[in-house]
Amino acid sequence: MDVFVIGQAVHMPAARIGEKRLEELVFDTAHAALADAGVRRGQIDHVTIAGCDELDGRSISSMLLAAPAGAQLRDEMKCTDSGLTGLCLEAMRLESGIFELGLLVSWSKPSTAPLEDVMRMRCEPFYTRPIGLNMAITDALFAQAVGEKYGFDEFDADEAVLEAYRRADRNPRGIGHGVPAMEDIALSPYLAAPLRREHQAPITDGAVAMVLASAEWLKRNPNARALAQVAGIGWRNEQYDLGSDRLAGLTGFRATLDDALMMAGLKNAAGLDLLELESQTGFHELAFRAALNGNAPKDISTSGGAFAQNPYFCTGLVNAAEAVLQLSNNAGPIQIPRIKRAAAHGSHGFAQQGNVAVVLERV
Amino acid sequence: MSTAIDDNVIHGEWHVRYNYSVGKVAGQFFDGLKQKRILASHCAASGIAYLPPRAYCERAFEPCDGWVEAGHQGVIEAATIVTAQFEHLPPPPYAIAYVRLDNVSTALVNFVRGMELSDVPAAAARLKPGTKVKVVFKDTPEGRITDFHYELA
Repeated sequence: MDVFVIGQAVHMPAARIGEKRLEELVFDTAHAALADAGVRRGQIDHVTIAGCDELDGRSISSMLLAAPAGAQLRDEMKCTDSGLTGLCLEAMRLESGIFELGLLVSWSKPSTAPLEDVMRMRCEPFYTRPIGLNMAITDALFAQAVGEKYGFDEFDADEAVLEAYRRADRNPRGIGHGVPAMEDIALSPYLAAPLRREHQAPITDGAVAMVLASAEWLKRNPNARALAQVAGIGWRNEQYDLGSDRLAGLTGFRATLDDALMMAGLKNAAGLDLLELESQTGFHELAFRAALNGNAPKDISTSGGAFAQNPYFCTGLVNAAEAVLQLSNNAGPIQIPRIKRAAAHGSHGFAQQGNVAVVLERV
Repeated sequence: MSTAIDDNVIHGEWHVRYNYSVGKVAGQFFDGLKQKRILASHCAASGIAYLPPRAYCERAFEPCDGWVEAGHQGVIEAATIVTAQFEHLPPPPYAIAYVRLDNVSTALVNFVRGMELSDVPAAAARLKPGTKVKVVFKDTPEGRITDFHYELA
């Protein structure tokens, strides 16, 4: 794709960004991305915003948040699946040739409300709501199903969580949870068996913005620097009901990644130097790695992924921002030498009903 | 919406009443429950029998054109024991399972009752995928999904 990231900003994460209202969080992040790209809002010909009204706690997020996202009287599109889906839409808008310079802004402030109570609203009203599902419960169903299929148990998940925290601890852009003791993970209380509390990546507040440009715009603006090129995009939604095939098949994850890799001219994930996964629990980390069928890149989730920061809904876009930093040699102490290709993965919905992937390349 | 300012935070709560249209297919399913019958919709094109029933086939993308009656026995496809107290959910511990009942192709979630849950790992081991369960209806069904639950067979 002739689509390039030319600037970005990731807001400093926190368990609760209490000193700013949502609009201020969005404005600060969008403004910082424009500054990083060295462009003014007046140059932007469109804006893509990705936000979740359920988590924002307001059903007017497009109306109230378009302006702080830089979209007042600009061609604007809103995406409600996930931040990484927003990057796919933004890339397609530029690839269409209709637009040349865009701003993508995504945010999440889950500290506003009890996350699991919000997740409960994702139950359809007839068959699942009277029983009661939420993120932890559906992730526990996922954990049991993938454990059964791939042969790992909660002790393997303990190890996966510990490793994720170790990687996150080296990432200066993470929230700085520190590395817990193994027994703190293994003996943490069950939320829904086999999922324990410390198997989950802690939820944080955060926001991400990117400025993207077409090849034509870059030709006319030789002083602009491209940080990375979008080479492939893919996404899939699976069925809502959580039978064993849906949970353990990882069909959507595989198809999503395959689509993005094929668009980038790659046969499988082994052609990547880095894959940043959105693993909301240790079980997810194990399952996604198993689904790669031995075709894994050398580095996976170097940033620590959701265990570094986890603004649920835009965690996948944080992954993309980390990939861009790697490809532009700006990843600091976790920089991977000579990295050429990286992919970001994101997911959304109960037990990852939706998966999204974006492949990025060094320019 | 109620609001109050405290510690630099404005508290808010929404209380909204919704009236969801049940539709013909779910309506027939809920009517069936009143007679202690569990009805699945069937797609002749794909051969899939859906439970919960769907008006359409997700695979063939054609209207489901028949009904089959699910058996009152089936196997667990996925299960968990919920041990945390979540707002607006039942007091823990309780077990739920997605069960594929006899004669149907997909799994339906409901509570699993009649189990000792104090030893969570031991109870979880009894709910492994493939475990046989049976349907137990309440004495006077009202046309709700909670008219029945599962028990280990």
